[in-house]
Amino acid sequence: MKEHQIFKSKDAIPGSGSRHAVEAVAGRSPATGVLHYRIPNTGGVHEIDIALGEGARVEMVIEQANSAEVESLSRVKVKAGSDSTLKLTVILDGGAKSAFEIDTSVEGRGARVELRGLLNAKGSQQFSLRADAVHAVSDTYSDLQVWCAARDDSRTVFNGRIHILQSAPRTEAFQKNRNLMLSKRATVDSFPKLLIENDEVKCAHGSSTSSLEPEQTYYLQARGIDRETAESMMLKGFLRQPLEWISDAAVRGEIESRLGVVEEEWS
Amino acid sequence: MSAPLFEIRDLHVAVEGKEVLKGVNLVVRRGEVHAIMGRNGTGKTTLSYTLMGHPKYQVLSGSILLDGEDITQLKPEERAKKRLFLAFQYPVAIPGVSVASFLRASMKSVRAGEIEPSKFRSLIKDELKHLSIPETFMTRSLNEGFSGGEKKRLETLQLRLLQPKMAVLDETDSGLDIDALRIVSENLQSFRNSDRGMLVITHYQRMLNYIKPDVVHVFGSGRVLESGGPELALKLEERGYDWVEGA
Repeated sequence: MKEHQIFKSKDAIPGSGSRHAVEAVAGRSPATGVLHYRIPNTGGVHEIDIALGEGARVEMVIEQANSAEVESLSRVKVKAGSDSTLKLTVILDGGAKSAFEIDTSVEGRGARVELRGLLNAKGSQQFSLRADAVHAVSDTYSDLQVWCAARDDSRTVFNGRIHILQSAPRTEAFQKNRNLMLSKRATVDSFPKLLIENDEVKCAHGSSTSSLEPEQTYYLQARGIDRETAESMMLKGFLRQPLEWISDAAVRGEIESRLGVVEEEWS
Repeated sequence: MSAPLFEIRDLHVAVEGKEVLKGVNLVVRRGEVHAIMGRNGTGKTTLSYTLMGHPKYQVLSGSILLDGEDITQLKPEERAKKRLFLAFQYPVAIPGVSVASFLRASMKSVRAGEIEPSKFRSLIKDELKHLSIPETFMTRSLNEGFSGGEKKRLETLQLRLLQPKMAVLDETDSGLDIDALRIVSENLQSFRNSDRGMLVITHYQRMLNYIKPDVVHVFGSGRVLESGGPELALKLEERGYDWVEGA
């Protein structure tokens, strides 16, 4: 099988790394609202450990918006305890090469882990996201949805794997990867995988790759919007989708503004 | 008799190399509503897409004129700016693009210029009430997860906001329950005036009970087979299409 990682474990990644830990227990969330964390713009390997105790509820946004020349590898480890809930949004939007790895251990009954990812690559950027979720106990839930946009000569790689152990009946686990190729020179790789050892589960996975949809362009044109503006609206719409669920409007607005995808306000 | 507002002259159109429209002729004058009725697969939707400049439909010969100007070769957005409007039978969903920002971009383009935000909102709020559309629609992604009826209401909203002089309605009555049909039809009917024209493509008489057509055309084999007054729609409802096609 081809090697589809942006970085291999033996690669030397320039820069100085960092380590960050989030520990949450029920009723004592580490902060109110959404935890918004930015990967330091130093290159190197950055590690984040997220440990959710029984009943903990955390919403977190991790943004990687490095400078153009920076290469980085971010490793996130999640341990989800009983009845805990994690809403995690990961955004890769900067740097020359950026790899992001999320290893989730759903190890407490009733735990829910939901992830939205956005890889927004342009120029010659190379972004990869690997997300593994292991369900070890019964009655757990995970949902992974990743949007990748590849422009110019860029490349995106999605590797998703759900592993449901024999010991995890009544698990529900889903993953979906949507890819938008905006250039003939861009490369998109997608590898959604399921490994299921128990029959009493509900699982789905899928991947789609396309360019901008001509019927959508036509619809907008028929409403007086020129082709270039229509395509820009559609791209912004694509990039906005994984951000829509961020519950903190200020955090969402800040990210949308930086990505240049701010929507018409309606109030 | 007033000058034609909208003309289709001997229009021949191919889709993927196959000729579907085989010489369509039609003249709509200001203030007139024309209905086109016909079986499935006779080319009605091909006609509506061609009129709005869909790139998949190749005009082999003939022309389309709006206010005397030949628009046959214009891009869809140029036709919209000249105030031609197509209400789609199956409006597409565009995830991540809100109804509000779509409407703003569309109105800015078609109605030439920036509309002050408070005026934009009050104008839309007014129209939403007429169409019984909740305001929450405005922040939803365009047509995503909308029911058939919601999509058609949104098409009607766009028509009213964009103020076309010629509107083509492609089966706007399909997918509507009785109440939605009444609301949509009444809004279309109240949009009618002596300056505008409308081409209503439909399978059923029911919408024409609200929007009384001046002329009814029977469409078959890629062209107009028969034209007449409103009584023709009733006759079709009663007797079907065989008598026209067999004539």
